[in-house]
Amino acid sequence: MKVLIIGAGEVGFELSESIRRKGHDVILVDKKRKACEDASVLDVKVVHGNGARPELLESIDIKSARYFFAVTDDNETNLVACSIAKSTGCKTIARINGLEYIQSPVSKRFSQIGVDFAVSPELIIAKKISNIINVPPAIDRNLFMGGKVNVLEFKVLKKSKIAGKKIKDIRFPSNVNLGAIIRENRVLVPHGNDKLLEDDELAVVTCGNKSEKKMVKMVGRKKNQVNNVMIVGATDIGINVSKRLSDSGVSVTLIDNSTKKARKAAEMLRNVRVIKGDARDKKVLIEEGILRMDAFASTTNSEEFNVLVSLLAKIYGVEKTITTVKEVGLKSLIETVGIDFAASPELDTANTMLRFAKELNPLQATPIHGGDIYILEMDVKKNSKVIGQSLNESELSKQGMVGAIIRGGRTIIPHGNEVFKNGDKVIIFVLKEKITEVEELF
Amino acid sequence: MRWKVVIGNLGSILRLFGLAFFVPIIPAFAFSEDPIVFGFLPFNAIIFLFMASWTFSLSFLFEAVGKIDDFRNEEAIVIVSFSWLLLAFISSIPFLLMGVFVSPVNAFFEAMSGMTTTGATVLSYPLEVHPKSIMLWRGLLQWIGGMGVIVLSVAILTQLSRGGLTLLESEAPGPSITRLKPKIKETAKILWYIYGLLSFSLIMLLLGAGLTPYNAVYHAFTTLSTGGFSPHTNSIGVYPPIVHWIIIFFMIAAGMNFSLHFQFFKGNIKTVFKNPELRFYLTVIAGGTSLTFIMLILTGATPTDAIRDGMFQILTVITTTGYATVDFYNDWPEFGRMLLLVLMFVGGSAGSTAGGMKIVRITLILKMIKRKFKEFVNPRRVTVVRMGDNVITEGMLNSVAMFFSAYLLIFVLGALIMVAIGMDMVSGISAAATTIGNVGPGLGMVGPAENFRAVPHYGRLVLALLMWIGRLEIFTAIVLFNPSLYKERGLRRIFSFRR
Repeated sequence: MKVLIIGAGEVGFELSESIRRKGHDVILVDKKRKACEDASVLDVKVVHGNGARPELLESIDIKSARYFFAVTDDNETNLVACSIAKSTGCKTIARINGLEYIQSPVSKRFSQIGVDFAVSPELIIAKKISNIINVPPAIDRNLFMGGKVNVLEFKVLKKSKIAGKKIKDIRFPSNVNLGAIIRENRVLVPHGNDKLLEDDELAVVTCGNKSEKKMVKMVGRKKNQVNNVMIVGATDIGINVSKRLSDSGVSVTLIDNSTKKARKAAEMLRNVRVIKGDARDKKVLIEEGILRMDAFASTTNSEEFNVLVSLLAKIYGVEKTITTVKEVGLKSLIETVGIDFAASPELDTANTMLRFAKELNPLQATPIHGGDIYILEMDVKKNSKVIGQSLNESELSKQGMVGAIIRGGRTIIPHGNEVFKNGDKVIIFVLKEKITEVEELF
Repeated sequence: MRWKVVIGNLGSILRLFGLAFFVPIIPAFAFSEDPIVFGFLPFNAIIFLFMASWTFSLSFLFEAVGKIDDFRNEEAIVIVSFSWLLLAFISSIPFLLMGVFVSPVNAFFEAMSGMTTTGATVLSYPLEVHPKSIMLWRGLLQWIGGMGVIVLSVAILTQLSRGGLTLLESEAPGPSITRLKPKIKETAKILWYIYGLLSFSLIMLLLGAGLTPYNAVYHAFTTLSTGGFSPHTNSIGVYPPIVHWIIIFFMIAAGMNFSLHFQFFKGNIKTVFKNPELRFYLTVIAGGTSLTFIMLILTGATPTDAIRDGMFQILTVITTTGYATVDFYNDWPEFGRMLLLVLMFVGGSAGSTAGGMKIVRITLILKMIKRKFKEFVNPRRVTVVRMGDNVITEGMLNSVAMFFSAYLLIFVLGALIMVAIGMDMVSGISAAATTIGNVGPGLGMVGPAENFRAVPHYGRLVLALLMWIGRLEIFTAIVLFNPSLYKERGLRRIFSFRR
């Protein structure tokens, strides 16, 4: 299948990689020569030019394309390009930057002018950040199947009840499954005899919010409620995170050093304390109450600044620190220096967009822990190899860890003798290098 | 500044105003007022006919001098402030011609009190002895003044604030005056219809309550305009309680933003009750009523009297109407008088016919104080002031603060002058407060049972000026004191007739 991608930025790269890996033809278009040169490392066709120009689109035979992604950083280009592409019968997906045109992470409101799905990087990441903050011990949280299955990532704390215990001795709540242990940057597939150590990161599958709450209660501290959060940077992301959190009853302090931005944030946010000040200034941080913060997120446009202030927050003992990052490649690096979660709007945007391109049959894979480990969502089809096999005898259990099976709308935390049936949806934890092997089983 | 345009527009305002002189002719005939000439024609009717023709000729003269053109910001302000002065001047003439007043100062005071919907009077008591025609003229002036206020607040000032004239931003503080229709003219027309409709319903209700047609029309004129003139010496006090309640209801309506009435008639009742200014307005009314209720109960009134009298007096002051059903100066304890004096400054909602500082400005001032407090505690804190969901810009807040200060400053000056020319402190202070707020009665020598004859003769001119300044919300009026306005070439050319 032929796929056109306009804009060879971070999102374009991620999209090209994922789509190409599934064996589709990708044409990547960008206005900037430099971006085109950079893109030549990818195994895709790169065209230099303005992707919103009808002549250019005709010259690359847009009629034969099935999917059209417009992911430049210019909204108007994206909208115009999609509009032209739609007229030739493509399915179109556009990236909409900023909050001028878009109010929800994914919107269909532009379908009248030829955009089937409009995706807002800022809102997607804001939703994610506020999701992570809202569940106290979690450092990452992904929802699958519309919230039927949650995958929660959290650190084992020294004080925690489960620290130092063997897995088989821990009585997990029902409907909860331990998916993976990440210890000193290595991923372990959990076995009954493994001991959980302090600072281990656990990825846990829960069936919906109820069992998630029980799990949180088990691993958490006394205080499970997030009360105070500090956000640095009155960017679109920062403002949106603040809004989401304050709407859910969290008391939010938003800091920005620009009077204009702080004022704009104060206009948009009703119940948020907006502070004009430099977050690198220890005095500012302490006076604005960093010591009693339950979580901290830095969302300015500068990665260096974000990392710096997040580390400062860590020093002051904030349990959970989050920072936004532009360059996808920096994500895992940042997560190794002590910051709990590096949120990449671009990465999440690309992943979200792929979900709408069903015909490309993209791998439904969500990276956790900086991409060392993936959560795959696989469908069991009639000709799948695993069909009829039980979990224990299947090849699958050697390659990864089955977290949950969704069968007929019900979520099952599988036992060893659970048999795969046609139509099952399976959630699997897989190491990055084993993705292809697992894919072949379905 | 093109003076030609100013004069031309004043001419066309006069032409409309001239029609008003025909109205008092009706009572002159209906009550066959003395003296009657030629056996059938009341002399008073001749006076009004003469005034009408004289006004029309003046308007033609003005229109001949200038052109009715699209005016610029500054011209619009000058037209507005001059028109109030000019109309007050012209409408004072019948008082002199009919011999109700001898002094032109008194006539001007009475006319200005009418045009600005104030309701302070220098007519000699009892009021019932004066001819019905001139009494109706005085009530009609208030009704016309009310119409003028509506155009002022909706038509002209929204246009001006759009033009970015910062001086006048305080005229449209936040969401108070929302354009109902894209065209200003259309908006003003709709509000006039509402004003007319409310007046008509009040007339019908008062007729139903047993008032004579003359009295019903008179009180409708002076209630909806929040004017407060009454043909009776004892004001509304002469009527039974049911009339008090009817008037209470319509005073509340007259003190509301008129665009809310429009929303109400359109069925957007939710929007109406969500309006922050209306909420605060109703809160102040409820608060004031309960305080006076408790006070009156403690002084031994029956509960029904206490709630009715309390609410009536509170409303008459908040909406700056200025009726009275009790002599609150002599009969009420000190606290009640003080409460009324304070409420004189508050006034009704913006976009209504009421005067005073307006509820919306008071709300904003309170919010600004709260914000200052927050900023004082933590200087890094960034906060904005909101009215409902709307963020009020710093420029607008600044204008509101300026208005507040200027209002108080002018009030203090006025009170100082009043006391300097020989009034006692309570009377002087309340006279200045009641005139700048366009309320009507004050306290002491100018209390509801007395009238403004107690004010030294030329002091009345000062008070008339205060009414005018208060009605034009200070800055519009003050523009006329800007000397550069009169140094314009255009003015000299017109008045030296070297055209």
